[in-house]
Amino acid sequence: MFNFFNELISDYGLETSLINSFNIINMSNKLVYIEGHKGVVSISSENISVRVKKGVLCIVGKNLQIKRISHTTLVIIGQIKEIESY
Amino acid sequence: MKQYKFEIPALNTEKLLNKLVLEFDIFDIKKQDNICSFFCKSKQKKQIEKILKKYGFSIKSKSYFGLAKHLKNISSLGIITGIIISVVLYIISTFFISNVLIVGNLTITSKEIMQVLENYNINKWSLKSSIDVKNLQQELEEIKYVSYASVIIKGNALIINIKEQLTNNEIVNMGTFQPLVSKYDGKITSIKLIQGTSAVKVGDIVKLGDVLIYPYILNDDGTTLSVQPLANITCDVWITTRLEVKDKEIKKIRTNNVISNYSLSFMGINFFNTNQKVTFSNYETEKKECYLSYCILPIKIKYTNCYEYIFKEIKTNFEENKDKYIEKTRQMSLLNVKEYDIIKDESYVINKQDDTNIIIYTITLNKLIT
Repeated sequence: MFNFFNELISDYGLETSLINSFNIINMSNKLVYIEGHKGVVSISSENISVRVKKGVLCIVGKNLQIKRISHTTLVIIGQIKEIESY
Repeated sequence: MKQYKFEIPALNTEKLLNKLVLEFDIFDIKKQDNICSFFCKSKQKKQIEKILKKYGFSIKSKSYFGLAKHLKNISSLGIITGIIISVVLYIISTFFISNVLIVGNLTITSKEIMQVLENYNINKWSLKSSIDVKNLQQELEEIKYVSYASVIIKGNALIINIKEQLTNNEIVNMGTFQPLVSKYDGKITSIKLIQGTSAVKVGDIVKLGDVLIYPYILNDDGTTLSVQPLANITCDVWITTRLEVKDKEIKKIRTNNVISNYSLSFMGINFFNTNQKVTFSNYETEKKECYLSYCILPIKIKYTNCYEYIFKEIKTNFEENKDKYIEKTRQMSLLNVKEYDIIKDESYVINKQDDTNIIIYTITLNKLIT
């Protein structure tokens, strides 16, 4: 099956260790896909924080909601303004 | 497919969601005005409800969504026929036992009890009328270590309740009990004493390891009797996180200047080196080793990169980014909150000392400390 991140690594000759942490895809500031999260820290309509390897990822915006969640992947929808990493 | 919606009024539902995600499919998670809502498949709603109740979360509302909501309005002949057939099948099934539940057994295995049932030809789908409850009860009471057994048929289930013979804990462990001690620092909010003598009262501030319940009770004649101390004590526990933000900070910043050297080696013997001199006054080195991927021979290439850096004074506008720092401190505090801890209150204080702004964020939890 096609794996976006693996294709990226092989096409650009990058190191495979690059994808052992977490990956984010932001689609038009309306959808954020996070791969490799380690649990939700906080949820509100303006701010959703998730734990990732060695830190916290903070998604700031409006009308935010978690559309889908599994133990490693997460889809957030809403008007995304900022993605910060602490 | 969303079918069932839950609404939970609580502050710390995030930890709960992390736990639920591991076992159930939940989606469309929202949180507004401290009310968290999410959808789940209707077949999982009972299990989720059970978990929520187990960890003390109250459910504000729960309702059917999607297909399940419209099912009641369907008046199709096929569905009505299906319902009639289901009802007939259900009525027939009420004549049989579909489930055998064994409760109360700790040392006696369910297998031993099932063996007795097999001797009586009782299995799943046995006719209810063929079961002699009294005889079965007597037979079960003859099992070793069973002091009492009750058998009832409720619905389609045969429920067997076993009471095992108990040894008196007070006599067996006379004088060997340890006092009940606090697992946290905090302020006591409630005490539910089950057994023993209380050493604290509501409102007392206790530290980790402080004695809460003594392992004895006083008799009327003044003598003491050793007992296992048992109590449910809740207390307010404070989790505090501190963040210091300096107005001015000197940081090490890499310039874009790099000097790279590499060497080639075969079987540990160096046969080629680039020896560029490092002219930077301040620099840090990074080394990397790998084999040449396009060569059949095991030739190792060793990179040494020298990155120039400078020290730069960086000014921080604390007032402008205050909310961001407060949120960061909150996130740091939340990392110390354990699974299913109930958050009672959150507050923060900002102090200024010379050129340092100190944010102290406090989360108050209500915890069972015994």
